[in-house]
Amino acid sequence: MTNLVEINNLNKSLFLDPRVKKTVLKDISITIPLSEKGNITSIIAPLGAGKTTLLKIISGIEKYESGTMGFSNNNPSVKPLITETISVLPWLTVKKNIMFFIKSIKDKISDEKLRNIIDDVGLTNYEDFYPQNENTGFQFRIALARSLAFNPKIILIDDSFKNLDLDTRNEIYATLIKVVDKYCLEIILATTNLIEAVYLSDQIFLMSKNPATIIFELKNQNKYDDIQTMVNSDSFRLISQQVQSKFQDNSGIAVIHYSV
Amino acid sequence: MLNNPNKIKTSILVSITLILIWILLTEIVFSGNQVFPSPSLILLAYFDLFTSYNFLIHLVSSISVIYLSFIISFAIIRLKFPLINSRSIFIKYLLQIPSFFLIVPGILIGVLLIYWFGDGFLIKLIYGVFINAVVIYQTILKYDKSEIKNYIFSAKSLGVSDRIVRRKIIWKFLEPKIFCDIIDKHGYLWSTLIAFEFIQNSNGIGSMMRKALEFHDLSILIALIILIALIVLCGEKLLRLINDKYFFWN
Repeated sequence: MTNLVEINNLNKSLFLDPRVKKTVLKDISITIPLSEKGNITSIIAPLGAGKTTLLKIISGIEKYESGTMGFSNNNPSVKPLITETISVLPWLTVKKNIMFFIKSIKDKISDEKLRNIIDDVGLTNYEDFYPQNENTGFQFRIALARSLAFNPKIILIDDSFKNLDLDTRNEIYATLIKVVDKYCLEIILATTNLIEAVYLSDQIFLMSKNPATIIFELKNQNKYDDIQTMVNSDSFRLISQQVQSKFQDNSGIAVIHYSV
Repeated sequence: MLNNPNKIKTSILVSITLILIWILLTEIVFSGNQVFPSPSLILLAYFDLFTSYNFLIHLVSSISVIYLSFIISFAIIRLKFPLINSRSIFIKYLLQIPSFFLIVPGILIGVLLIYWFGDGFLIKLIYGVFINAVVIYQTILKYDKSEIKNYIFSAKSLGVSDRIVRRKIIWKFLEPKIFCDIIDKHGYLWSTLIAFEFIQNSNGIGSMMRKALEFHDLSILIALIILIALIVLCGEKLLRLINDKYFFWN
């Protein structure tokens, strides 16, 4: 298989009410090519469209009804999901949070590797901190480090940045880009934020709501120095117009965030 | 709970006033009354409690049952932490019963235990384990796991088994809730145990109360009630300290 992820005509229904079954994902087709270097792919969709369900299916914790989903030969068994509300264990320190899940599957991680991961996600000197009083950015770094400890090829991020302030968000973006390059990771990011998607991603999928289906695919070759430069650029304006027009064509679209 | 400093101040003032009225009425105005004991009689009763009634032995018996039974029931439920279907209507109704009303069924079960197995410390301990287990089960059933669904998804996406998720994540989130519920229902646990001891009439503070009633010794009874109230209050404070230390993250 030449693609890292290949999803074809995937369908999923959920019982939103005990008696009413609703189609959440309809004929979802996503292809993410295999790449030497790391990539970030964004799935941009309104709130409540089914992004989380799709990510849960990709990570293997939820089943789909029909369609196909395949991964490349390098497909790892673990596809960590970083949830919208970051789920780091509040009773454990940063270091123990990273070690906890590795130990839970009876695996080991060398001290050197752990040290490197902690440094790479920007948690140097915070190993013995408890996360419960720290901000979401700090908790995201722990969740990222915890995922990296598993040597994954793919990490799934479910709109985890939406509660971050602008400065923290920029710092987290920089960390994420650095980690993606260093570990040759494929990140699948579900978001409602167009700016975030365009700034970080090489490939963007637009997903509609009720039911969720892919309505547009965008290859993003542009690289920007910072978000402000990107927002003021013609290329972003063009992408923004394309996205808006695509969403206007589809009914049932909620607000997409275009703010910095 | 009295969180407001003004409320605490008011309640202290009310208590002091009531005590002063009590002293005034029983020691001066109706000093010859044979019904309601005066403070001086109650102070003398404390001496009797420790000499004639072997208060310390009974206290150790009651305290050990209360806390030992909690540890045992906690350990048993932790070991066999089950998956419970909380959708059952019966369970939903059971959960809505305030602990105050559980005293009656709790005592009825105690009466049956005494009827079948007689007296003895072990029976009392088994009863304590049962009552604690009910409180812990209520907490588990009431707990809304959707609060921590993201933790479960994250763990599962990392390949962690359901068993580990249940034992090391869900249970860990439950621990402080259980502890808090035990603190809140501390009074209920004490009252059911005292009622059980009263009926069993073997050992423990409840049996002391029964003896005091049999001897029509109201001063001992009041002295005991004051002591129990203080012990329960101290126990609750101690549990809160343990809670703050071990579940600091909650």
